[in-house]
Amino acid sequence: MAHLILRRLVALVPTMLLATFAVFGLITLVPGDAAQTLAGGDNATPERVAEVRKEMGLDKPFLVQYWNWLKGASHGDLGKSLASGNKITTELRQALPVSASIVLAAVILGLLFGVSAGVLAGMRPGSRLDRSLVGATTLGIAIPSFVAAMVLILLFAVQRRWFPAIGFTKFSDSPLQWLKSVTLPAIALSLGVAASIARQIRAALADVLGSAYIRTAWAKGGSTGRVVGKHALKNAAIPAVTVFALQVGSLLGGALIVENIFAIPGLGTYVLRGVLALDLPVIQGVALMFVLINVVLSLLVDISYGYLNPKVRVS
Amino acid sequence: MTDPIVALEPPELSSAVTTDELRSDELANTPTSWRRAVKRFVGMPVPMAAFLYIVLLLILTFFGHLIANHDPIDQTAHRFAGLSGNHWLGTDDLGRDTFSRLVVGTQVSIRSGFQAILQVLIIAMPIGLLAGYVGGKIDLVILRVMDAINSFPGLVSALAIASVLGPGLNNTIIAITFALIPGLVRLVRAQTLALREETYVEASRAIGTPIPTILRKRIVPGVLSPVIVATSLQLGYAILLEASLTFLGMGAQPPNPSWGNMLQRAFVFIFTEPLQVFIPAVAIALAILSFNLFGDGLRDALSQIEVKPPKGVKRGRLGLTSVKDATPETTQPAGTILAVQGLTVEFATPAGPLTVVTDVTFDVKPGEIVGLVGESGCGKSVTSSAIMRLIASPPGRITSGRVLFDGRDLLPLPFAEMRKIRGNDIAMVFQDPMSSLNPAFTIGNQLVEAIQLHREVSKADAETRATELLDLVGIPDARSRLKEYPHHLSGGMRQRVLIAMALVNDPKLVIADEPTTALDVTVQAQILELLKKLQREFHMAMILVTHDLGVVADICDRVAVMYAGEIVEQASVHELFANPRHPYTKALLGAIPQLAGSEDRLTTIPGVVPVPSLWPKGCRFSTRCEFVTDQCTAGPVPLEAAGAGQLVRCVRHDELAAQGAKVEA
Repeated sequence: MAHLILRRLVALVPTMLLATFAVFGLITLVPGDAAQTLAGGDNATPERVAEVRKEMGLDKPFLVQYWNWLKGASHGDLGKSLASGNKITTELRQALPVSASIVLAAVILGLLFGVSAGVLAGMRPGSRLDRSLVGATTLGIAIPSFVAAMVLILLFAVQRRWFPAIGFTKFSDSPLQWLKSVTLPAIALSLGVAASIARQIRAALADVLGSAYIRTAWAKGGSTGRVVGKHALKNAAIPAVTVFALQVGSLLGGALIVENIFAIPGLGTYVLRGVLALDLPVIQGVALMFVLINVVLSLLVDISYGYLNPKVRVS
Repeated sequence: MTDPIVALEPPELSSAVTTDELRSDELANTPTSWRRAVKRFVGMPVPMAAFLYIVLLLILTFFGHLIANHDPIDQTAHRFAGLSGNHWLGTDDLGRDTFSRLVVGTQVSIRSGFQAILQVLIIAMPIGLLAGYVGGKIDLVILRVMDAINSFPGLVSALAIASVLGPGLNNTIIAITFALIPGLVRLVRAQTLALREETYVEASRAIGTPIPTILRKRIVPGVLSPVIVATSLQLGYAILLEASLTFLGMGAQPPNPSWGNMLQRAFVFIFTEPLQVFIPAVAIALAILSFNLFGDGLRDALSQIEVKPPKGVKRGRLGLTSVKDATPETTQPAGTILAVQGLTVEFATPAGPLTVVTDVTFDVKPGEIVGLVGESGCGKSVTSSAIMRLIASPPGRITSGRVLFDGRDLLPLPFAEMRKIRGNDIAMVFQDPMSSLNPAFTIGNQLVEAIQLHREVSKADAETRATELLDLVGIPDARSRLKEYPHHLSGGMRQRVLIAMALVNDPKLVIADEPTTALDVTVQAQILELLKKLQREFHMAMILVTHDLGVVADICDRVAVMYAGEIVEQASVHELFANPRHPYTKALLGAIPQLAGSEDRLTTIPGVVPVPSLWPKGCRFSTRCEFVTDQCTAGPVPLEAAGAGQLVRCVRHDELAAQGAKVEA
């Protein structure tokens, strides 16, 4: 298992290098003189332009800039925000846990609803329950998370004042208020994950339930819970894991907007402020965060493959 | 929603295939199959509705400004004027007509979706073809680059690109294009790779067809249909990205209307004017939904596998064959452990229910081995599964009969009762050892489970018992095997494990369904020998399902010969081989090399077992029988007693027996 993880890590190195290169390469897309544009365009004072140029090392050749940035990043130094002048790692450290708590809540909800709906539908493909669940997943996949967020605000924060419409309370300040403040954003974000997982599990489970080893499990005298929950689900989960990882990726994207809608001070709000102010170091810093999250996710997927499918462990 | 291509890609590391996925070999790629696909699509109500909605959106895209009853940027009306004959959907915070803005704004979403997809196709198709067809280093580099782009969620990369390029619709479309490229490249690459290995493409290569011609004539047509499906799904995603970016202030700039910026503006007033939020939100969701449904429908229509739901069998409990009519109770014949009486099984098909096993009656005495013999498709496996009620409902169902075991009828039993018998009193050994063990659990786990399902013993005790049995079935180093997974073992070893699993609870009856068919010839003999030995040791009764009369002669006490869902002859092994009465049995015996002897000609039975829908009304063997007369096809033939405890289903059996005697004399 350790061997498998190590091998995968090594395989991820070129991808990571390319991704960081792309992150850094964003600067080449900045129209006109990058330093001028980033300093605030035509209205920027020459002093400010020179300052930005020096700060970001824009006077050096591109590859040297990339190398310096990468070196800094590996030491946890991502430069300073052009807007606030604060260190980006400090700002990221504040924003990341906020986003993480919402994303995590959404992932848990998505798994919970996705797996249960998938199992219920997959146990009886073609039944009325199955058809309505599949219909619901079609909606869940089509409705963007920010539209879902608005509908949820309308229903549960405006009409019924059960949850706050905006804002975020830290868990350490008040667990109950925290729960209230993450509920609606987490539900909005979880719909897509839940729907995709449900579809995958449903299809895989319907398939697996027809297999010979499931017949063996029935013939042994297994109960429904044992045959479906143990024998079938572990095998049916394999394709769902891939989809799950990709879904979490897109959930992170959705979190950018949903945080913005709920005025939650997480990565999304942070990067959006950077985007609107063209604060490039901030955008690069957050993008790099996503690269790292992606690496962790791929590793988690590989580990779960190893658990679910023993054949992978040996190869 | 996510990048829809994701749902189309096969998981890289898994061997499992999910039915929801798209595979090139099942999709249409010839002009005729395209025409058929279009016809099929028109017959699907939901995708057709989605298609019509897309047509409506396209009309609005081109003629929206003609349909709008107000200038979308005219601010002269009252703000939030409410719904009226003049302002059908009210007005916004600046007094602009919402209906007109919605209709004119359609253009932004639809145009950016199509424009982005077109750009994606132009860029991704050649790259994907190149990576898939040339392979090697080029493929590796392309894949790595696509992986790198994919390490950001689509929205993140689009947002980052849009932000450095600056706000505006065109920059947004460029950003969307960029975010969508990796998915399509991967899809085209995977399809190309699969097609490249096809024999007809290899043949083209072998005769020296130039690569561009191969690509154009052989590869592109095959890649096209999955790409079209993916394109439709990606259109929805592109529209989502456009709306998201515009909502964040990147895309179409005010005052020009778009769904995204309508939503953004209205959201400020969500507490007082929820309707103004609701309208663009629904428009966005509906557009995405319609492209998704259209794509899904297209995929189903293009799929060459016809999916018609089978009819005629109601849904039963999972894991238990349902029984249509309860047959009145009787007492079990004395001296039998199992008595199957009048067992009839039907399967649902698209054309309605079809009977596949008719009126099967036989019994098994304690300690006896009964062979159930016949060619493939004669219903012997269905019969054996029906005894344990292991056929799924749907599609299968027991229509009538009794399965009397140990004094009671199994057919009316509820699942909880049946479960206590399965694996405990009656155990089963299946045909295919390669797939009958769960690949995800160790041998030990599966054996211990079999014990603990019926006995309250500790895990350690169960493991000891499991080891004993593995020893008994001849698996060397049994203790350490418990920790191994099925894929570590050979087919013969897996069948031994399955036999051990069947025996862990000392069953009174074992049903072995072609236990050696999937194994090597040398291993077959070992497994049969083992079964015979264990049957004696455990004093259990056994039903051996097989198509091999040699095996029957070897180990069975009595035999039931099945043909086309019926028992045609039943006798002791000795009687059956000495005096076969049914022409089918005779023909079967004539086809066995060991029995035919060196002087006799080895014969074959002409034709094949007819499929259940084509079973003759009279004698079902009549279509292949050399002794057939009009009498045979007149009506159903009953099973009659003949000779010493023999049963035979043939109207001419007396006559033929007499003739046979004469010929031999």
